[in-house]
Amino acid sequence: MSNFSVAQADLDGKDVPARSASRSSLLRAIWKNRILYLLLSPTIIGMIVFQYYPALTAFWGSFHSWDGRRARFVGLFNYEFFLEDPRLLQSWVNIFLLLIFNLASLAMPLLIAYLIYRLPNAAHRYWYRVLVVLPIIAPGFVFIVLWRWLFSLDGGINIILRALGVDSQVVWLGNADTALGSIMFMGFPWIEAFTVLIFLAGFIAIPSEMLDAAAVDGATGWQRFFRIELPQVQGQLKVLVILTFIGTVQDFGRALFMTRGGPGYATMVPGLRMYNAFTQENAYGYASAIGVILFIVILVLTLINQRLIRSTEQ
Amino acid sequence: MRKLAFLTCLMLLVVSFGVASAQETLTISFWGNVQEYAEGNSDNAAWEASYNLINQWAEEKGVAVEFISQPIDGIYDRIRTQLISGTLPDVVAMYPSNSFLTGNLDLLVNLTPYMSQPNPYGSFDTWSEEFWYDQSVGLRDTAIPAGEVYFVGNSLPSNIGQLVIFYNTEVFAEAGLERPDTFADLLTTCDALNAQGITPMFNDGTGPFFGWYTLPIVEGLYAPITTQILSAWGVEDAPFAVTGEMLAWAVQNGVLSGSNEYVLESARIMNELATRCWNTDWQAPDTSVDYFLTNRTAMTINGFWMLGLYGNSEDMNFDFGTFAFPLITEESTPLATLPFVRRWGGVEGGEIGNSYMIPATTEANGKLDLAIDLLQYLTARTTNDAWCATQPMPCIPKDQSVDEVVTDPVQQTQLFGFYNPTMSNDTAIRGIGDPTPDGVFNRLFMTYNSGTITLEELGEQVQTEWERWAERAIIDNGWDTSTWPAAPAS
Repeated sequence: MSNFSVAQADLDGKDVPARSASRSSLLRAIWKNRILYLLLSPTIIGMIVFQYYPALTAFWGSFHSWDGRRARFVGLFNYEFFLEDPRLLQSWVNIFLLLIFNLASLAMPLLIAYLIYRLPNAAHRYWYRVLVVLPIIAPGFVFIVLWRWLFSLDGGINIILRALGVDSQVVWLGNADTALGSIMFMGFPWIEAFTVLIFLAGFIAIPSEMLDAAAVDGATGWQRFFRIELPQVQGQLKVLVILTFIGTVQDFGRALFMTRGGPGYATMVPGLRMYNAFTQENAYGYASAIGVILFIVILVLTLINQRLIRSTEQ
Repeated sequence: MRKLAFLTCLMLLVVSFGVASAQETLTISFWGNVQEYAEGNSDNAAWEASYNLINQWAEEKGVAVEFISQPIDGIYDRIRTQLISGTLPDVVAMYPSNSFLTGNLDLLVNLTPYMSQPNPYGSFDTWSEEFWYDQSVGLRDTAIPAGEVYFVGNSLPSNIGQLVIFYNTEVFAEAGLERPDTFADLLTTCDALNAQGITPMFNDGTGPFFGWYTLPIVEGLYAPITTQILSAWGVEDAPFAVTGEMLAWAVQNGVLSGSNEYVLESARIMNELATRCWNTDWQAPDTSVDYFLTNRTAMTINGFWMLGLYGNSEDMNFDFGTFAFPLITEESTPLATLPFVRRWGGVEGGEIGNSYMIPATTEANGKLDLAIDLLQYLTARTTNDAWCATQPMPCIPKDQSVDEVVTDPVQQTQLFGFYNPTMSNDTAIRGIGDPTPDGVFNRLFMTYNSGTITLEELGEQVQTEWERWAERAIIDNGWDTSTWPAAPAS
């Protein structure tokens, strides 16, 4: 049946009884679970007001010259302006390098989670878990201040290097060759508490029968890890990879607080360009266009990522 | 009996609540951390004094005042957003700035009509006469149409340059150095300090310091460009006479360009300053310490507000003096043309003090009369004198010289840079320079200074960014380029 004939059938009313029955059963189901729908509705309304509406506003704003009060339609000008940015390539290269690093550094929480999981003593497992989670309570500002000092000329890293006999006079954040690497190095040893906990939860959920069977079959430690345990936390790994993609492309906090994107443009990322456009230039339309482009990039990367993971599974 | 006591308490509560509700309340968005002002331990004597004066007014008037702290970081963005969304408190206390006011003046109460009426707290015929300074000076220098008053506030009455170079007089004396008079002298001073293993001067390339150094260099060297712009636009020479629109015109017509010899020379001169004077880690210094206060450098650039901070600091273990950023002479570059230093400051007060504005929403909320009353109280000449007396800078009337009032040689040395050369309309800055909000010139200068790009490449990249800025500024501001003056003959 062509689209036309479907429409015609609707108009003729031939399919109406079936559709009407299904609609009334849907309404009955909603009414039956009305408490659930009622409880969900404040959250959904909140999301519409505070998340979907601003996102749609940003999409609208990206086609306007908009200072927060007055808006004038400018078509694709904001997009063209961003894509013609002579610093665009460098900022995407920076993001790419950060992404590669952040994905690779997922190995650290994976390793720590695995080591904690393999500890034979439950009390030790508990205390190590506490130790990993404890830094969460320190305010982020302290983290920034500490790392800024560590990277300064007479800061911690140079003190250590000088103690080791290297006369280091490097201003780690003030040198275009070392600034981005320094931002990556921040947070060493890259043990993010929630990531460890997610991996740990995955390891703990592995059925003991499976491990017992592997032991009976004579699996070595490596075989057990790579053939049984790692595949069993694949779900967690997928989620974390996607979250890392999204987090890295969106993140500009470190560049903002550590270097303001400098020296020069050495640590500039698109998110920081967006932030600057918004806060320094009152260019809400331009900032919105960058935001929309970031959204598209994240969406595409996430879809590619999911597809790759699915094909690997198959 | 218990019931009676309970009912009495309840009635007392209701009555006291009623009394409290009947009291008028004025909300004030206040610069900085109000808690510190309340505890009397802030670093900012100017705002602490204003806070106390407002409380004094509230007590005399029987008005409840609710202060809302505005953290200084990002204050203009926040206030602008609140102004546009109509959510600002009844009065806003801040240093005036034009950036957030562009296109939004209609959202403020225009105080001009009140100026010709008497101030009930004053002793002159009109409110206007209460001011030590031309009351519109604070924003005359920015984007506000001449004569229109949107801000009033407290101010030192003198002509004061706000930004100076602080120097350690003891280090200078030990090294046998004098206060430098010219830019060439400054570089020689830096060389002498370096030779003795002393880091001469502090800069923080990630903060405002950088701009404070760039400003006098660029304002000094770009004088011919400024003249060309003002002459094309037929505008009288005055502080901040060069507007954003004029800069966009200048960029589009090649008057201000990356290949301009004055632009390139300013980068070269600044590079000399960076190489010979600044701390080696200036592109990312340790911001948790004050390099000057802790004897890491012999000099630093900073503002008048540091006078009180350094003067009162327990960590200060040396005498200090000040001098204005010295004049760039032909000894440093053949392109030096100005016979005086252009500097940021307050001409006859005005810009140097605290200011107050009233959002238009205050009128709609029925609080306008109360807000005006507060502003009249704060700016009566006698109140300003009381405010002035609390400041680290002496309250010197504009017709007196600093040496007439301050006789202590130590204090004279500390104040020297603020008063020499004297601020005037002629020596105030014109608003010329890098028009980009993100400071493209300074960003690219960092790369040039580190040797990644050449001076010519710096010029080319600056030019690209300026052209992009002009293209967007025209669209965003809706400037009608057909009304622009013709391009100057090359």
